[in-house]
Amino acid sequence: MKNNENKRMEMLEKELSHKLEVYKDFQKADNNEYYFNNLYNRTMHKLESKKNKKSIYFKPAISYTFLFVITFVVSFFWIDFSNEEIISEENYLFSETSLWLEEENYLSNVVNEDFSLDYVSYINTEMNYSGVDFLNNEIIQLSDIELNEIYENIKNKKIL
Amino acid sequence: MDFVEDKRLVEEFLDGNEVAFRNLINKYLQKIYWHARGMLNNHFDADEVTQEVIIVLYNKLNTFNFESNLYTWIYRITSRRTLNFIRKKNVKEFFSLSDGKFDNLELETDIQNNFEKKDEIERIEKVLQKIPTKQREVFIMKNFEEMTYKEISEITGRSIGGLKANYFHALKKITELLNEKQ
Repeated sequence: MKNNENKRMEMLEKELSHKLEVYKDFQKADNNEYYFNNLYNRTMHKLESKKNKKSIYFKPAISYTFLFVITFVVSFFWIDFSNEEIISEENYLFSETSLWLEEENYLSNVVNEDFSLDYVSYINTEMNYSGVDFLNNEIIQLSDIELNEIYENIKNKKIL
Repeated sequence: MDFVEDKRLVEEFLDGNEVAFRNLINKYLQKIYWHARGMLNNHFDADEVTQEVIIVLYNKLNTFNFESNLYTWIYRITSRRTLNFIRKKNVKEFFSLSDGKFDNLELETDIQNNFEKKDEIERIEKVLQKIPTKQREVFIMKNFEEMTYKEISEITGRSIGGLKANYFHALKKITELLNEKQ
């Protein structure tokens, strides 16, 4: 059985050898030399280019690390990480919280303030220094009872 | 003799002598190309694979330890690269991604330009493409590269029995196909 196969194989090889001779001659053709020289030179040129590229090539991991360090350094200088509260006038206008704090502080001071005004001298001073004549005239024309009433109102903080 | 010469060339190359590499490649370049050409039936693909193999050799020769013949090692690289190329090409064709940039090129740009028997060569190459890759590989190595089954087995990692069977089937099919065409 094996002998038959071998014989058959030899027969086929013989049959084919003549037909394949053309291909073998083609492989050995002289005019291929130019192509093979060219192929070698092209490949070496490619290799050379790859080598040159390698020197400026960054591995992704290194590139990302580099990027991270740069970002960190930049943010470190640009961003103030301290907890100091800085309220500039500019910020005040736009900060609801700051506005509220200021308001609260102001109101609490008003509430705690102790009023001890001398209303008589206050009115007199106002009258003396007021540049509005019609108000002075009005006050002058008031009776003692009306003045006392105004005085009481001022005292009881109804006017202020 | 070959073994000693190859070893000397490799050692010289590893010592920085680029001429030694050129001499080494000159010795095997055509064998690499014709193996790829037979397997791929395309000058341009064979050209690409040959370039790849040269680059691999340049970068990996320092890993070769002379436990086998250099030419076996080179053939193993060429065989694997060629089979990988075929696999990638098949995948591309399956998903219709092949750019087909070389498909319609005239033969003027091929290596076989000016060769008298273009038609016969083309016919043989077409027939080769009609047999399975495994059979084609053995057939090319046995017929064109005149290797023994032992050498082919070392390169491909397949059993000698299996190789013989593949070769026999290849012979039968190629003979039939070539006869048909005539």
